[in-house]
Amino acid sequence: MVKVTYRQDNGDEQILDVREGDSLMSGAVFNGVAGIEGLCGGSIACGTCHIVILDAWSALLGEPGASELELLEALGNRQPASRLGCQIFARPEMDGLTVRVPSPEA
Amino acid sequence: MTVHYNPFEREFYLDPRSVYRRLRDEEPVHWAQACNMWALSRYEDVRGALQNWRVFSNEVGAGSSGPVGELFKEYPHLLMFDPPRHTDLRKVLASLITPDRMLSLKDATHARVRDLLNPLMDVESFDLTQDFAEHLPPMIIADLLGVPSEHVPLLMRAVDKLADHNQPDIMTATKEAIYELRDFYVGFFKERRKRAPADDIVWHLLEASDAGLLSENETIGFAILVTIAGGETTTKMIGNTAKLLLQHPDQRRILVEAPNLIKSAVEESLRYDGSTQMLTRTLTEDFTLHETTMRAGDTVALIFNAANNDERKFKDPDVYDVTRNLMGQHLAFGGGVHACIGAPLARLELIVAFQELLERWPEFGLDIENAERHFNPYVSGFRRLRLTAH
Repeated sequence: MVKVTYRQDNGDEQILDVREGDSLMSGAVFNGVAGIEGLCGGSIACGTCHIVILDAWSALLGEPGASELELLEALGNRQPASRLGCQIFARPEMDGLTVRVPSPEA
Repeated sequence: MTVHYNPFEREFYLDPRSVYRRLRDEEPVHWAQACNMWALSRYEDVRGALQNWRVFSNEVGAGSSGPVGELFKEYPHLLMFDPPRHTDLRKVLASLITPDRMLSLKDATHARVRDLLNPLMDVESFDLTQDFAEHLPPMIIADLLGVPSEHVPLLMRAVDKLADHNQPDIMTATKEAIYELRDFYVGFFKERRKRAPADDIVWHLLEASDAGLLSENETIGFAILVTIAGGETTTKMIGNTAKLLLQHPDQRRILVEAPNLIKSAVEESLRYDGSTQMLTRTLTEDFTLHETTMRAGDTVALIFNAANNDERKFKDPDVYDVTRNLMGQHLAFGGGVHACIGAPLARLELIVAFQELLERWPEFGLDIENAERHFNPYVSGFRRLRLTAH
């Protein structure tokens, strides 16, 4: 299990055990994290699993692929450290990871 | 007067949009007496149900519809499980059908489409479904499965047998079809093991089975699901999209002039007239919506095609606009944990098909009047649809 903290903009936090190999979207949906839906089931079509990675972790998580980048660019509330939770899969090295759940676009 | 909704009846297909509108406006939680199920039609409610997999379950009630249901249960597949088992099963294939992987299939898909369409350029008219749309998705899914092309007709016949509700004895036909697919895959798996490892779906299923992630029957069920889902739905969507373009020639002209918008047109077509019109769930507990209580154990139909045309979500839903910015918000591929795993592949096939079709016949005509509809309560589309150059 990989410990991941999902932090909302209002400061609320949920600390979850995400199974190794599950995506951060899948872990969030299974545990009912507010603001993460995964409408398209992880096929990079909807952006409803949008998360923001805290600086300390961005090097470990690597860069988004071509399709993910295309969708991120279309998000109205995109930030430099934005990623799609469905494209990040829990690994032991990520234990202790914290991600922000951005407020939805206006 | 109470709304009458019955997707098992032919008459329903004369004007489904009007029925959907009445359901959304008058009976958003509708008891479909004839089908012994509830029906949800508003976008917010359908999307909410898709998100709420704990209450709107796939596992509860799976395989409960009589002898055929029992057979389905024997060879279970993704749509018959809830998380977390569902999550583990889905992972076996999810990495094989990603958008980035689809980029690598683009050229091969164009080649398949050209092989099918080029011979048709010499004839006066052809059947869009019989001569093209019925062949493309099964060929592509066979390629992905690692199944040689010569077996495609067998697979297509079996899928049609269980999908075509215009038969006298659907239960028997479905049972026979599942056995045929089962027998094919049992034999094919043996043969496949003798060949070298490769990046095909069957190899990955067998690897997962050997690693203890899937039972033997689940492996068969998975292969059967991919075979059915990989064919049926995309085939019907080609016809539905062509019909929309015919009925909105101004929109078709936009695509001829700007083929980069075909991607967006495919999304709008899925929204307006998706081929998977409805799928069901079973309630794990009582659930009250719009002051109506549905009981634990009840079947609930989630009508994607009604939800996708809800003006509460989509402005002017009856306007077919190929430039509409949907951002994946429509529910034509379902949504949530069970969102169609093949969606990236379906999108690729539809985009490539229409790039090539519009290049050859930018002003095609269709004989809608004499078209033959498919009969299946879950899938909406055509079995026969004649196309002419103008």
